[in-house]
Amino acid sequence: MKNRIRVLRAERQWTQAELASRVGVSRNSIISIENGHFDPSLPLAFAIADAFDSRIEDVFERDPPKQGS
Amino acid sequence: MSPQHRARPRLYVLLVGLCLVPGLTILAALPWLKQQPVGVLFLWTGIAGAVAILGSLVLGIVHDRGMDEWERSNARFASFWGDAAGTSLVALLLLLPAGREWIIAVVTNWADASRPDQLVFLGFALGFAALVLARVACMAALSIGWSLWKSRAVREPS
Repeated sequence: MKNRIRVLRAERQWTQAELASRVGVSRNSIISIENGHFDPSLPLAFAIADAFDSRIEDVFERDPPKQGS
Repeated sequence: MSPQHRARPRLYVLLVGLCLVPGLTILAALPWLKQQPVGVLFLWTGIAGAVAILGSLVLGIVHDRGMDEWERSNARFASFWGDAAGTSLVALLLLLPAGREWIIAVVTNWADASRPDQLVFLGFALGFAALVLARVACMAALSIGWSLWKSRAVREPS
């Protein structure tokens, strides 16, 4: 799942560690989510959006539906 | 490491020590233990084993409570595949002639060859220890590998 976490962090000049601390997760979590290698649960996605004071749709981009589904 | 884990370093040090010190103590005292009656040997190794198991259980509970979902996914992956890999490694050791010879050499070196009960029990205990160590080693390696894989940087399209 694509996301705009890196962009939103840069706008606020937050490090990954700082965002992790605000959300209450490990830095590794933020790294993996930011790079698209780990999809957060809904509560965590909401927590990240809340940290940026944004809507969840403004932070995460849903993957396009697969053809034929 | 999640913020919850960072908040209690002393507790972690204490619990890890509780897991490691009994086993290391037994190893250090092995020359003395070998001269003792079997009952004394079993008593001290039993106490050491119980303390280490209790420490690892508490450590597991404390660690589990502080994990975030990324760490839980890591633990789930490492536990599932590490268990299978470690068990397979020990099975492979038993299949290979060199592995069987090594096991026999270790057991007969430590136990009195004229005491079949000692040989059997020590062989069983060492087999159990080997299985635990192999599974732990495989879980640790897979956990590190999973962590590195999930943390890799995204390749920018050229």
